[in-house]
Amino acid sequence: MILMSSNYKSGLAWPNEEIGLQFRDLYGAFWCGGSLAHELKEAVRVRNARITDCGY
Amino acid sequence: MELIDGNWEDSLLSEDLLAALKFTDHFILTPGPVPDEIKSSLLSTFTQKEIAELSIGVALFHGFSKMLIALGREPEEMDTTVVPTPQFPDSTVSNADLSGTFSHLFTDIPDIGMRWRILEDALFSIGDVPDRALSLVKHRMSELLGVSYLATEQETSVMENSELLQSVTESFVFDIRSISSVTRREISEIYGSEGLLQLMFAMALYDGILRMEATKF
Repeated sequence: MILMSSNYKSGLAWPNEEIGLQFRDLYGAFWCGGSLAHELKEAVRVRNARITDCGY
Repeated sequence: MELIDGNWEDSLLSEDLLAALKFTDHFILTPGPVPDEIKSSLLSTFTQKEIAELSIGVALFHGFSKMLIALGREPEEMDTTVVPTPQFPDSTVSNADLSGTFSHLFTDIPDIGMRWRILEDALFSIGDVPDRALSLVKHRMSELLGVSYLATEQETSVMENSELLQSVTESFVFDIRSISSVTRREISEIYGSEGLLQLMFAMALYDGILRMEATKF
């Protein structure tokens, strides 16, 4: 998925640094914290990409 | 990979994975009260905290996938795709305010809820898109997803560009591919290119949180 890279060339950059930081904070807390297994999170991520037909 | 393609009846997946994937399908395709069968599968496999984590996870994946599609920023359209490995944030948010319209969705996951709230506040502080326009988007999205909450006068009053904002909101929720380069240009002419990003980011955030509300049990 996504992410608000600081690298503008990635095409994913967010011009407002604060938003990028706060998004990474939220996404990182979900992805790296909590009690759900990583395998399950990844399966759900891929399932969303399939349904949404998103290249990520 | 083919095991998560949706042929659930013949699936060899574990019970917890199946329950999570069925919930994901429901969250994305038919957001609304969760059918009893899916609810009991989830409750027999996960704790309330894990269900809340699952829900915010699908909300983030789905909302921000659609944001990238709406912005025309899928990998094949970019020179380089950089996907950083997520890291656990260094900062703590123990002093953040978790009150607000959606706070009840984060009762079991306050750490994530506070971060969601901080992100929403940061989004409103950008200022390229007027607060009224963002509020209108939030309100229209809540109607589309069958979620009722006490709308303020600001969120329901008619304003300039209401028609365009409502139309793009409807596309974002139900037909993301209908947001074209023409739509993007039209929005950019009104709010600027950074305003386009701000608007789509808001749509991603609210699409996710309102689907969480619609599917909460």
